[in-house]
Amino acid sequence: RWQKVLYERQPFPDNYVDQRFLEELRKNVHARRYRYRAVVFQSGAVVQQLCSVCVFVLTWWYMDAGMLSPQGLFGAALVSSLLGYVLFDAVDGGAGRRESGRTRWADLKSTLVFAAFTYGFSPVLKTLTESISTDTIYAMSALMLLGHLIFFDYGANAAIVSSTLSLNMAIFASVCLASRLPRSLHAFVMVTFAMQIFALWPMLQKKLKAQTPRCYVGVTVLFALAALVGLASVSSVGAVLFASLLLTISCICPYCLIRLQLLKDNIHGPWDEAEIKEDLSRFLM
Amino acid sequence: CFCRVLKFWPLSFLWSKLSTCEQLGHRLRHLQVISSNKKAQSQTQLMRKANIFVSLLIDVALGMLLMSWLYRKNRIGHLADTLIPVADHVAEELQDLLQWLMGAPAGLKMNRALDQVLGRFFLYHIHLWISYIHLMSPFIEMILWYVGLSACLGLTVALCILSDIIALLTFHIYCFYVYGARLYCLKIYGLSSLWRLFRGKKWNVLRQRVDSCSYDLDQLFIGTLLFTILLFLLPTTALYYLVFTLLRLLVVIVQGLIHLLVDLIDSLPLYSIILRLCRSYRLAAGVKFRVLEQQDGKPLRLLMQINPLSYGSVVRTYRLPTYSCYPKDSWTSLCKKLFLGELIYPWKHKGEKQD
Repeated sequence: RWQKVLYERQPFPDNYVDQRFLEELRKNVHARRYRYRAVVFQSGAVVQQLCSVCVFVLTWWYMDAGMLSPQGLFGAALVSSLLGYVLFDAVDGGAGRRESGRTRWADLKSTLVFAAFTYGFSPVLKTLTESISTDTIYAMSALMLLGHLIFFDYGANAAIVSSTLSLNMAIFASVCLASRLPRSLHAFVMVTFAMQIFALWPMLQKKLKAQTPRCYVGVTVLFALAALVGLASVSSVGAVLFASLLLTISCICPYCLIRLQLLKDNIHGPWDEAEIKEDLSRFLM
Repeated sequence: CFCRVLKFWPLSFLWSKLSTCEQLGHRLRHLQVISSNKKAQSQTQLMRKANIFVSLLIDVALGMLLMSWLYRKNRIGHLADTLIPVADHVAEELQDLLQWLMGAPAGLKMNRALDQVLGRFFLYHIHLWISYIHLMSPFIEMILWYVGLSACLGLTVALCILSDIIALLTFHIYCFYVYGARLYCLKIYGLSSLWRLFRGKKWNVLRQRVDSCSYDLDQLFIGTLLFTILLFLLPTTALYYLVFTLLRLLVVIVQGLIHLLVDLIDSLPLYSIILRLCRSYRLAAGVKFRVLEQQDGKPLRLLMQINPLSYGSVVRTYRLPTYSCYPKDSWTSLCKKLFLGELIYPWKHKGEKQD
């Protein structure tokens, strides 16, 4: 019989091909089988972020047009923040707060620091971009918000993810846009609202997603509807485009992903590079 | 004992800043060398003594010439009369420059509020300076008359005094440069640190490298706000810094040229050059032989002639050491310092070169 060794003399010629050729080939060993509903559920994170950006831009638009007063926005944001704060603790029964060890006093201090700092700097923020043309401001803000969407932490474990960078880009965009508003009170309220919608809202949503999936789905759908309605009042073409974008991301993209999995063609075998599966930290000094 | 008095702090500070005092100290050391009772040990020391003596003589002679020219026909009075209008003119030009910067210079977009603040601050300084000059104006002629007397100590001293007077007259430019540079340097450091925060990284002082770091929410927020503010205020500060740095560099170049001239007069070995001209056999680079007669049976007769040194090597060998102030930074490090906003002092005085 033919053996797969080179150190023994065998009666076969050198280029003999046995029937056992490639019997150790394995195909698609690590391929995952996705379920449609699970993927749609996870795509809710992307939908949420898109709607956040949309709501933020809409709010700025309304304030710029004078249809929304800063006091009204401040009041609404304050009320919803308080609600969210209570909900954050109530959802998992206080376990997360006990784990992270963050006291309410520390939260209050942070809030006061934000508010004082932003209020103190709002006249500076107001006149920051006075001499820069409006088109540049719009382009820069659009770029920054796009960057925010790209680098956001949607739960994937990729190298491009950087939650710090995405938050910073969003704040930068909000400062750029806020400097175009009429008075410094508008700028202050805009920046505070941006902070709430880009930093605090995703935290609450992550917690809801982990604890109560059904609630999370309901909240996502409501949020998307609110964004669409607001967009429709400004521009109907935009609303249609946005709705189609959301539908693409939440319904069509998961379908494509699952269909394309069937075309996967990874081959594995004993010729692969060796992977060290053991924990080597015991060799560290 | 005079030198010991100078070690105390205020005097030694002034001493190091004024180049006149450096030059006077240098000449004093030369006088000490000449008037010492020890006989010169070697050819080099003898030549050096002779060079110093001749150089001092020529210096004092040129200085006397300058003095006689200055004190004739009341030139000092004319000089004093033109000094105040020149200082006024310079101050007015600076004021015009600042008004231009406070507007929209070269079409650049400035931040109006910061522009106004900086412009008014500098204008107030110029106002103070003009008042100071006008306060001093009655005494200028007398001061110049007495200062001109010191030209009898040598032309180099007179040139050094001129350089010091230029430094004093443009002191406000130096002040503006320092303000602008410090502000710009602060801004650049703040921006680079906050840019690292923007990307979520931090400078690790222990390992001297950039590491990733997880910041708190409030740190991120305040850091990004400050970054935005500093970034948008950068063009204004950079423009002020650029303008004042250019002015300061102009003054520094003028001072440098004067010092170069002083250096030249100080270090030229005149005695050696004159010796090379007149009695070239005293400075030998080697010998050459010429055959006089060559006959059979008689011994060979050769004529030995001395090869004199070339002028270049005469100057190189017998050059007097000076407290030469050549630029201590290479071009690349100078550019880097300018970019980062660090203060530059291109003509730093070295200690006396030892042979």
